[in-house]
Amino acid sequence: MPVGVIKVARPAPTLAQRRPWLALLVGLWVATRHFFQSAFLFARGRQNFTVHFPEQRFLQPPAMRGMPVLVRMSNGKERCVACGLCEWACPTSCITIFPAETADGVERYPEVFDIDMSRCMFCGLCEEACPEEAIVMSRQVEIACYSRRGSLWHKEDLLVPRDQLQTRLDYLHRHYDA
Amino acid sequence: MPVGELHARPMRINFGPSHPATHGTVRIVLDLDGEKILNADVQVGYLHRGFEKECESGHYYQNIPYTDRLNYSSAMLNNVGYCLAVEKLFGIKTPPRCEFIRVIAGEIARITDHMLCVGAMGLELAAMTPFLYLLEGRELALDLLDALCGARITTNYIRVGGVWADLPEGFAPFCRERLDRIAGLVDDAHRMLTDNPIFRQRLEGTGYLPAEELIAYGVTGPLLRAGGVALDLRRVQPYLVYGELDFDVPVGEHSDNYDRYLVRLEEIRQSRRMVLQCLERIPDGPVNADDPRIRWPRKGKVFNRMEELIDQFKLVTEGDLAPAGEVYAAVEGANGEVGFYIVSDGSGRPYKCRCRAPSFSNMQPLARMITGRMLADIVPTFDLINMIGGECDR
Repeated sequence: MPVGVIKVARPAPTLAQRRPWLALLVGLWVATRHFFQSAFLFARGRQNFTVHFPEQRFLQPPAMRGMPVLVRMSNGKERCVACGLCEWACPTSCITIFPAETADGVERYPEVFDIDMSRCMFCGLCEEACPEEAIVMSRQVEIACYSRRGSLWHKEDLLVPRDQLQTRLDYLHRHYDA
Repeated sequence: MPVGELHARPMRINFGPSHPATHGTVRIVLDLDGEKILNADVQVGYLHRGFEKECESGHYYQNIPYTDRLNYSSAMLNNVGYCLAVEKLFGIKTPPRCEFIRVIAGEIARITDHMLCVGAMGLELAAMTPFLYLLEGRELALDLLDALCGARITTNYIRVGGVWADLPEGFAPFCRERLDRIAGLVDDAHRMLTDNPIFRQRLEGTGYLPAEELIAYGVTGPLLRAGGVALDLRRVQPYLVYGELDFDVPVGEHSDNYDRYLVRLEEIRQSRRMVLQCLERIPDGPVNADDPRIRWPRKGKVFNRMEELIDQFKLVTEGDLAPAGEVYAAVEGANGEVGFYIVSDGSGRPYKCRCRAPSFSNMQPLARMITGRMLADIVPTFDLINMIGGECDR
């Protein structure tokens, strides 16, 4: 399909050019309309746009990528088998894993699983690489802390019960298993 | 009054690097005679983070998040550019649905970039209200990207050989509704700005540079198109599905700031047209190329089958082993030609990844545009160049 080329129309000096107060009126009209639209919605209890954080929360879509967390299974153990693929895939190398062996059926588990949140950029490659669905991107983004040590998250802090991550897991299953 | 009679020397001042109007940290050293600029020295590089060097130490897939940080106001277009370059290196073709999704995502990103540029420029010329409308529209567009890929700014959505995820359910009606609201807000900003006599006086005739000089400086994008040159990679070398879409390339004729503003505003409308057409025509089918060299296997299979599990381990740890060679691929970014030149030595990491950043070339003529003009002309000129520090300094 041929792509056309259009010349942007430079409006000829209009009446507003010779009468600056006309331009002022146009601006006032637009702003007033917006004001009353917002006021109308506000009176009906619906904000037009602003979300009053933290009393109100932004409605996040299912695709939301927050901080990466580890899945805790119903038996209280982590799902991770310390294969180290997320460590490989992480562009910023913010994941540290020390594997260890256990007599369980899974045989391996991470003795240390640290994520340095000051380096993590929430790209989601760890989740994409994980062959066990053990590390997923949660909806948690409020992770501010007072010291650098506070941004180093250990395994115990990262473990989240599976049912709290259901939204994300459902979203992933949608196109992983299709 | 000439300088000599006041026994005063030209005053040398710094404009930036942390001036509110130099968003993106750039420093302009100015020699001023009163308010007239005698000499301008534009210094870039304050946001250098070694993108190109960093790319050499990451697998091809690991560099995609870094491309988000180039032009962070339209990250999706950088993703597309980088992935197209790597795909050219591998010689793979992506399925049609993937190409449509890439166009949709890219055009939404272009809308956000232009809205931010025009809005911030208005703000710095003291037009606060249109800025609020345009940023509201930008937030609405970012909601679309959020629904698409889970992040608003640093998208990391496009993958080599495909995209991360298919469109979410109900994306088309959501997108149409949002684009309608955005169009309304753009029209409101247009009503307030375009005809405003003060605004026109600030923009008309300022920052003028003839098209020949712009070409000589290697300028691309809306800046060049405002000079009357219809160079748009979507038109002159259509990639993805741009060849099938019906859209117009807006060009200006005066090559001044006012035309640049009008071109950007018109491009928002054209991008909306493109997204709507894509939503109409998008075919069903897979979103990832069926190429085991590149795309990681389906997760359902990784969980249950040995071969795919081994594949996953090999692809993550070794990266995608590219054939040796050199490629250059470019896309039309929001500010001009975003190109990636990749040299491969056959390993899983690029030997060299050079980024042709439009902001860097577009910044070159800034000194020419402002020398001899008034101090206040810097702000609209610089803003409509829309230098993004992350991209210019890489």
